[in-house]
Amino acid sequence: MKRSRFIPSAGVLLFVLHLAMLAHGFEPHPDGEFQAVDVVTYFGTTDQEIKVSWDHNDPVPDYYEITLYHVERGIESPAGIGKTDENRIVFKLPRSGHFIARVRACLESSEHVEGCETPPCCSEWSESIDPEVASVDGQPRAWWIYGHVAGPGDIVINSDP
Amino acid sequence: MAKLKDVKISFPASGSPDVAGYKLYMEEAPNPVNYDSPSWDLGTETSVDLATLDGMTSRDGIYNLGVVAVDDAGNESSMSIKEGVAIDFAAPDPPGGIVVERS
Repeated sequence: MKRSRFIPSAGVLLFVLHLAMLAHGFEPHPDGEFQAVDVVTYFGTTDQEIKVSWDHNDPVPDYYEITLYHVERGIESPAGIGKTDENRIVFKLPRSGHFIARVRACLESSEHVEGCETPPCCSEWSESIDPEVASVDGQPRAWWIYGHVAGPGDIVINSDP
Repeated sequence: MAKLKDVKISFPASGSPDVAGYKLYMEEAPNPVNYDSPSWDLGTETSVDLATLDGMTSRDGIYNLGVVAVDDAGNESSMSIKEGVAIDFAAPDPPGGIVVERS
């Protein structure tokens, strides 16, 4: 029996920003706007780890693919975060700027996937900027991340005796 | 030419992957050092001898220093600040002419 087309419905593949990230200093500021959509901005520095998690798809895929979209440059991050079979990932931003996280679910085989001729068969991207699939503190809310370059350490003065 | 005493500053590098260099800011105390203070590009060096920087003050005094990391887009990080640094790059006047006396 063929499965239905392997595309998660809105709300099935959720982004949930893990609280552990906040403990590392990323702070939410619900004052951003992006294309007339209210956006929560998480501020932090690019040397900090970020943890993003999402609800497992049903059926559970072979892996999830995660990328970052760099807003200022208008490109997918070349450092792209990668793949995982877990429903969370920890990473650091590759550079400063605003980033939108994108996740999709993929199957290695097209055997049971209707409408997919060439594997891997992946769902459409779910984006953190989409309030239909993104959440903040358990509430539907669009979000993005702003990473700022981290400062150097404390200055040390060395003078000749 | 006078020989100036070395005053070197150093700092741990930023942990960000896109750091293009560092910048030093300096302001005479009691004025706070900030992003409008006189500044020097340090390149990628995380230590520098202040006396070697072009345009460094030759006025003795107490200074507040700040260093920032700069990314390749020109964004500057938060500032690491060291206040109350005594700097004396003004050499005293040389002594007068040497007189050789024969006994």
